[in-house]
Amino acid sequence: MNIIGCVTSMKSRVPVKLYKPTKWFHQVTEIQKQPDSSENIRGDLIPGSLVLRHVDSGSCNGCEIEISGCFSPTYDLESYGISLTASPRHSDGLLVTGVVTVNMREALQEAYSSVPEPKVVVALGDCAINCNGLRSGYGVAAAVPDLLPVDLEIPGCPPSPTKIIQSLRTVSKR
Amino acid sequence: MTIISLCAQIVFILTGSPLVVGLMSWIKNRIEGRRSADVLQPWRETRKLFSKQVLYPQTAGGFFRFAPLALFASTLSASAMIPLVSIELPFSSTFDLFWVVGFFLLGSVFLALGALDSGTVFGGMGASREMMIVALLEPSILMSVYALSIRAHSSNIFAIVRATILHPGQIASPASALSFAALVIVVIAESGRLPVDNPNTHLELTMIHEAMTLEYSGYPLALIKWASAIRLVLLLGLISNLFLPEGLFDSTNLVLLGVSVLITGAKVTLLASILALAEVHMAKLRLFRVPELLGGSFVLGLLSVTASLYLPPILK
Amino acid sequence: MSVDAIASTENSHRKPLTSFSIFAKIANLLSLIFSIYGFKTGLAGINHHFFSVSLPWLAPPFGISFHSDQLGSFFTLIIASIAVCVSIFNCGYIRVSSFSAISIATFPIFIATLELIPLASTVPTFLILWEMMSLESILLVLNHIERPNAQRAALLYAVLSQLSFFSILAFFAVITNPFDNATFSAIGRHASLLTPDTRNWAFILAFIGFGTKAGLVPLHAWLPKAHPEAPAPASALMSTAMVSLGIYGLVKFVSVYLRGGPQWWGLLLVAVGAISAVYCVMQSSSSSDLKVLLAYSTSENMGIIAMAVGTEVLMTALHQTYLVFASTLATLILVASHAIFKALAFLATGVIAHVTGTTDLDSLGGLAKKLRFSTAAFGIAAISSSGLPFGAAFIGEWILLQTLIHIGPTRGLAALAAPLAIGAIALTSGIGIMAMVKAFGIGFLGRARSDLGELKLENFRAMQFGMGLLAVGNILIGFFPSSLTSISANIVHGLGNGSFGPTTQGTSETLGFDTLGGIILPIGSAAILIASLLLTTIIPTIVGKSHPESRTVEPWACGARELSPAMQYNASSFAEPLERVFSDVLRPHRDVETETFEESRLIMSRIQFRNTQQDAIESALYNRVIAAISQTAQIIRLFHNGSLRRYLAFGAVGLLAMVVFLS
Ligand code: SF4
Repeated sequence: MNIIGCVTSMKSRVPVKLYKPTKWFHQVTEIQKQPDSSENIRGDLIPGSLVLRHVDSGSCNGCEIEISGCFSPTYDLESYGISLTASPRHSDGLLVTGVVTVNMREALQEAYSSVPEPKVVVALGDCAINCNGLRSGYGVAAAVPDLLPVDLEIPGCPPSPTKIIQSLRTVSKR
Repeated sequence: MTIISLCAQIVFILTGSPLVVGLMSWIKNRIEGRRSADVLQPWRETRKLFSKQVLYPQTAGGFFRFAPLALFASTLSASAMIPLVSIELPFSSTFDLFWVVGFFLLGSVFLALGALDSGTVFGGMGASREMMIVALLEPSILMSVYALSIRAHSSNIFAIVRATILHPGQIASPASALSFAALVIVVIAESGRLPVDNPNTHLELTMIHEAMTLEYSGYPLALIKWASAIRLVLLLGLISNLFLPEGLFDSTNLVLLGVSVLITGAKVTLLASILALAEVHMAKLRLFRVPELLGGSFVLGLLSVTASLYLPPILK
Repeated sequence: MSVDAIASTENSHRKPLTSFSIFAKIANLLSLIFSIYGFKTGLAGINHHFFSVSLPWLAPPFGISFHSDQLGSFFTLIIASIAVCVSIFNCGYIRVSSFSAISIATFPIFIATLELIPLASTVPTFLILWEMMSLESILLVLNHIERPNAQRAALLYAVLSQLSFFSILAFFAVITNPFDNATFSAIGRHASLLTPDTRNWAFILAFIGFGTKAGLVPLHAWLPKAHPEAPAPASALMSTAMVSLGIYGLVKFVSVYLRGGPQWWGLLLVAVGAISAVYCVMQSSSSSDLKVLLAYSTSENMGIIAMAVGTEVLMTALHQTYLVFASTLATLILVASHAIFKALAFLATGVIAHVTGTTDLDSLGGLAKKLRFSTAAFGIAAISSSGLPFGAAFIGEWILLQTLIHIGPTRGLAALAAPLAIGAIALTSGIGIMAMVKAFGIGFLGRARSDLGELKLENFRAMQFGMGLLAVGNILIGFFPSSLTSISANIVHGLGNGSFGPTTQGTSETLGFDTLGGIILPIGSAAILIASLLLTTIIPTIVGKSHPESRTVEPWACGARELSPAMQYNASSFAEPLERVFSDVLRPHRDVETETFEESRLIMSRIQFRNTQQDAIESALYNRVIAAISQTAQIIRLFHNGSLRRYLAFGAVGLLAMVVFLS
């Protein structure tokens, strides 16, 4: 165990510059009200926390960029109790983007069966909802609703973070 | 009365621990300029997980099912053995620090065995890494225990805390400072915080604790998460009461007990906030740099032992 | 060490037993009788009813005589308790495994010898029995005499046990009074009159002799080689009873007869013990054969016990009477608890080896679903040995730690002893936990790594009973340590002739020392643990609503088609992080072989990865010694060409030289 190495490594570290926001509250979504419970998409879901497993079943990555935008400090999706996880076992549902390609079809179904009940399927982007005009492509198997019971559709190509957050909040109820 | 203090302590830990985790992530988020979920978020998640379906992989055996219960129970037992809200609990004269530390180990061992029993890749990976850290952490822990026991002439936790209350001056010694530093590293490693482990990561290259939990779902997962929150609170409470036992009283009446609970809560909150502040500035260490950190902790403990044997405290 | 070779040790059913089986039954009966009689003798001995037999006609001119004392009886009791369980186990095991006729015949005699050694009261008796014990265990190691590994192991073991024997012989030569008889009591009288130099030599000789038997580094090399070769019940005895006798020798001769040596004796013992413990636990954690792992773990435990003996010697030198008491107590408890959990681990391994035909962790796994009883037995042994709360090993280690933290300020090198010893114990127990998690988790849990076929158990009753007894013993020591500690404390009081003063020992179930300010109460904590478990099971119903029915699913493979059992972590990969951290000591050796396709050198058809472990001390020290010896032999051979004239010339030169020197 090299203690000297430890000490030097601490010294040589570059001091971290923090990102300082000009205002603490300048989020876009802050203006929106918490969605009322009448927009209940599923009765058996427990409100307050929604953990999703993201599956890219054949997207162009445009939707992914918007998703990752949702988790930036500006939008901070996690502040509404919504987060992504690596293991479907930890999740409450799937967040599917893109058309379902032939190669991803089985994997998508397996991921779905690996999620414990009660679970939701969110189809994000026009591709996931209706193939966005790509249905006749040689590698395209189907849209998500053809394979899985979709509970929430977030249309757009790609949908904006504001829209994504707005829709997901109807599930997390926060 | 000791029973009442015990119940108060258990309730305090059970309800408080998810809040502390929530508080830490709130602080980190705010510093990063986020709006952040409130401190109750971990509680919401726990409640949700308890109402979810439990999935067991086909490949797993009985140990996989038993491990979360064993982990939670051993952590809960440890929380009945540490002076958090009172310096007198049932059996408190028998809670040797070596013994209590063993309960943390027991939890880690069961979780690692459960992970190996899942029969999957990640379970083994997490177990292997976790056990490496446990193995290397053990010397630092025992050395810190040794250093602490010297001033009280006993390794009983309650005796150490009492001795500190009786002779507060002893804290102001180089030995105490060194053993405090050693213990801080121990606490960070043992509770799986940065820079040893990152509780928020799910990358193969970096995850340690999380890798062991990947196959768990539903209430076993909730138990595991809750147990690591409890572990964090216990360790923070332990370190604060070992070095700053002000506000701890004998179990005599309910008012004092309430005051103790509040003061300990404040101490834990303060330490957790400091830890969160520090974590924002830190990146996770490479797995194979962690032994250096733990080795550093061991050396600090060793120095502390020599200092407390051969250097007098500054204030008598 | 080739793993496949070990694999076939236990499984080649050698003979259909017919007339053989009557012979085996007689042998079993004998070993049962010997061990039960030994148990009775030991039990009587610790209650001051000493065993005393004198057979002057046997082995003239010295005769054989036994007269036990409390310490000896305690060791006999431990050995016999293990022997009883092993003999019961063997009743079933002998029929399904491949004992050779010689091993079967040797087994009861081995048990008897082991039990008699601590009762011996004269030097010749002790030496004869000691040599018998070595020979018998060599025979047991040679159970499969046709296998080259067995032969090599037996050779190494024979060399080291002869080294041990000769140093013990020399020790007795140094320490006995030539004008008095050769009884131990005479030695005791004489030892205090020796000059310091003689005493130092005596200590070193005893240390080498008994340390080799106990498997201390660097003379440990026989342990991991011999154990995989011997049949499981024999390795259970060798790894518990026989190595304990090494400790018995150290306690009896160094700390009782040579009482009050200089500080460096203790420091040497502590240092060698610490090095043994840390080195062997690292080896243990990185070996992927179950029996090798257990053998190294034995060396590790003996290292810790040697540290306890060393602490005792050191405390005697520093005149800290109370700590002398505590460290001797720690020694005895550690010996007893080690014997009981290691025997169980070896027996369970024997069952595994018999049923699956291998002890290689990399091809085991998933046994928990098929062999419930053996898994439970090994699990109890593993938890007991890893120094966790409620484990048998915890008690002894805890007392040793309590002793060490109370040493207080001292001068000279002794000042470093306590902190470093605690560090060594801690590192050992940390890595030991990892080794046991590996042995249990990789070997018994998860999925089977290779197709082991139908696992069938025959004649399991007796084996089950033997292992069950040991398991109950482990649990008893873990939860109610006061039974063991009060017996041991009595023995230690006997050793000190009342010089330790009053000690508060083992009132009901508490275990502790008021003087040391430490008490533990395992049963109280067990109550807390059980209450916590109950609370844990009801918490889900309090916090959550009712949740949907649980479901068994395919393991999550990250979207891949399926996970194969080979994808699980195996023994080598489990130990890899630690191996890398300690690569300076462990010297892992990696071999990657790749085969490529004809068409392109860039596409590989097969990759083979091999990770082998070498015992660094063994390769560095032993090979050099062997090289040096063979070199000297070469030189000597130059003189030995068989010509008579040359020999006569040597004689003449020798004679002349003598004349020159004498005149
Ligand atoms: S919806 Fe648009 S952005 Fe999203 S995957 Fe399809 S094409 Fe890309």
